[in-house]
Amino acid sequence: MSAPLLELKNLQMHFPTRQGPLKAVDGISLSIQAGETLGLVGESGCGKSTLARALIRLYRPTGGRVLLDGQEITTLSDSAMKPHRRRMQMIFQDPVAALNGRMTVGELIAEPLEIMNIGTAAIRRERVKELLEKVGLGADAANRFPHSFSGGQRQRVGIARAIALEPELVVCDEPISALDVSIQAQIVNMLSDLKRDTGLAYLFITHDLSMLRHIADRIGVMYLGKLVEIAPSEALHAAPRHPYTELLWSAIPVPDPAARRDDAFETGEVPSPLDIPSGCRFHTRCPYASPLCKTTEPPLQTGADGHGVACHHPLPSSPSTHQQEIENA
Amino acid sequence: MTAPLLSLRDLRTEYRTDRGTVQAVRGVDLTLHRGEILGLVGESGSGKSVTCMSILKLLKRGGHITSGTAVYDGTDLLKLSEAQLSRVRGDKIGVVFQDPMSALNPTMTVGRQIEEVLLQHRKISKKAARARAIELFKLVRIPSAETRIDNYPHEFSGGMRQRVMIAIALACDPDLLIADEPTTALDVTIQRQILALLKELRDRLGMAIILVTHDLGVIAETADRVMVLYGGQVMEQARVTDLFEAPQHPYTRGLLAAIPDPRRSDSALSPVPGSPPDMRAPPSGCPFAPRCPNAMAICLTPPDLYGAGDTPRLRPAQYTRCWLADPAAPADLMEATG
Ligand SMILES: Nc1ncnc2c1ncn2[C@@H]1O[C@H](COP(=O)(O)OP(=O)(O)OP(=O)(O)O)[C@@H](O)[C@H]1O
Ligand SMILES: Nc1ncnc2c1ncn2[C@@H]1O[C@H](COP(=O)(O)OP(=O)(O)OP(=O)(O)O)[C@@H](O)[C@H]1O
Ligand code: SF4
Ligand code: SF4
Ligand SMILES: [Mg+2]
Ligand SMILES: [Mg+2]
Repeated sequence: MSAPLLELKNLQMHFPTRQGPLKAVDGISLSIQAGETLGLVGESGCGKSTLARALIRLYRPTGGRVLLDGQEITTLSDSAMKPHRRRMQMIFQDPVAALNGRMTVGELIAEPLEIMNIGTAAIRRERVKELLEKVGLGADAANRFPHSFSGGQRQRVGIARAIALEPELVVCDEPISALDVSIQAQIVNMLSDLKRDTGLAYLFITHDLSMLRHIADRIGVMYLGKLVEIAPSEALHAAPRHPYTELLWSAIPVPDPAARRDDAFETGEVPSPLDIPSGCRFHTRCPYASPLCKTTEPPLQTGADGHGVACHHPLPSSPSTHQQEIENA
Repeated sequence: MTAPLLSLRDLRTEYRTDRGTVQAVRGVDLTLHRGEILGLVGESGSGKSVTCMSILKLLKRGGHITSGTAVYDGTDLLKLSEAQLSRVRGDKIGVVFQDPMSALNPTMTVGRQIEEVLLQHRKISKKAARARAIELFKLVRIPSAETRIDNYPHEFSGGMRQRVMIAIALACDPDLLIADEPTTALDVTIQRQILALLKELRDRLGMAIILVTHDLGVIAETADRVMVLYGGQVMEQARVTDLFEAPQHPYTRGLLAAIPDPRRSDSALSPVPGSPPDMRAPPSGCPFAPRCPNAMAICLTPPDLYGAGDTPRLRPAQYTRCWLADPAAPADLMEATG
């Protein structure tokens, strides 16, 4: 197998605060292959956006390594990063907030090309037209301002801008959360088409687990700054092995009022990245925690099937045997 | 029956822009009782946010309410002065805005922002306000509440900012909470806990809630009654079980059919075909007609809102704005087309 497009080795991103380091990302290793879609899920505040920003080097990681095509970019200066920047782009949840409201859509999409000194003004105008067609907006959108577009259309502008430099990796941080189901489906289908046509890879962060299932080849699950499970999308949906993943799956809202659950859904207090629990960091909330879990952090272990899990007592594919296994352990 | 807490009648709101006038809300009626959770659904641009923001006259530039009343606890909010409204906002009526980043002040710690709301509406000491702010932070499940309260918005994750906004909206124990997509940035576990918190406040304090969301799973788990908007009008309204069991409006049926099946990955995504109407020149008849699989010649004339009194097919408290529900329509038409 060739080197992965992107590889993280024990990546850390700690923010200094008055209360000590806030360990937003606390040692994550993973890789993304060219043309692959890796989904990323996890509790609000567990470090997904921070990981995304550190891996495309919007942040300078405080520990660990980032390798792009096998080449270390972890601590490159801004100028040394410049040739690599165009290879990795990012799409955010709210594209308007990130876009300059005084620029037309055409100017916004041309901006990355200008910064990279690509083409003449005329060539760039052609390219903008082409990009607008590609994201389904039509060339005449170029002269309009983003605030006159709907949320879904603005997200298309964000995508056109992100793919202008023909990146190899696009990090999508909740690109569809603010959109309704129909527009979500249109955007997801469009991203899949782009991937098929250009061999793009995506890191796709979302809270929408059913949508993720449609687009991700593999899914990684984060908990409090760590990767706790990673597996091919189907395997993870069929049989999650980490107790946190099981909890997450159980909370998916069911679109059927007859199946309504009115319980308080108490799952224990969410620990703080300022004060991470000892041992397995999920042990304060885990229904299967044993004494070992309180003292020893479980490493992420990957089986031959590519299913990785960081747990002393992972769930088996057949749930009934699990309690027995814990007692035997 | 007791008087409703909130009653909107014939609300019409438009946006005047340099590209023409957008008729965002076109005659919406809405009734909400104490302790009731009303879900508001409909695709992007259907007028959910504009309806909500009209109630407290929180419209952005260019927005005008051209007719209607919004009677809250006996007072028409639309007739109040700005000064009178600012006493209601954040106190009796809490609002969660769709976009947390533009609603929070980036230059002030989030704790100060919660405290300011409390100090504005309540005669309490600074110390008590801070204690309440910390309590609210815990309610919305922000870890290390005591220390994180002194952080600025940019130091929080997207979902944490959304929860800060919920904390601000709940600060004064409002009688009515207007929550515009309050959980879009939350994972499903925290989402479920926040929805459970809202239900608990409803049970304990009798808080009424208008819950806007595009997630029908959230609606099924939370709402008592649901209103489906399309093209700035109410298409269907029903108790939540009736809406899912016996949807009457073709648009509602399309929405329900578009829910991705979480148990299957091979199921193709099937959004409602076609695109939403241009609200600068909305269709003159039924707004859904250009996309409706059941459209008939008569649909070029605007249909009325029919209730159970008009047609036996409708359940109590169910209303639909569709010619198929007209008493004169053949009884088997709906079954045949549905
Ligand atoms: N600039 C910053 N300074 C200090 N702390 C930060 C900063 N950015 C993020 N954090 C903290 O790091 C943690 C992880 O935040 P991050 O935004 O990565 O979470 P997330 O997984 O993306 O959550 P969400 O799903 O809510 O978007 C949070 O506790 C957050 O408050
Ligand atoms: N500030 C504004 N200026 C001009 N038009 C606006 C403005 N805000 C809303 N509109 C228009 O009003 C109509 C209703 O918009 P509204 O924001 O209520 O939709 P929504 O149902 O909340 O959609 P979403 O699900 O995307 O939030 C749309 O046609 C929209 O384009
Ligand atoms: S290691 Fe122990 S505490 Fe952690 S998830 Fe596994 S069983 Fe639970
Ligand atoms: S009134 Fe006619 S076009 Fe409108 S939803 Fe009913 S059948 Fe369809
Ligand atoms: Mg995030
Ligand atoms: Mg809205």
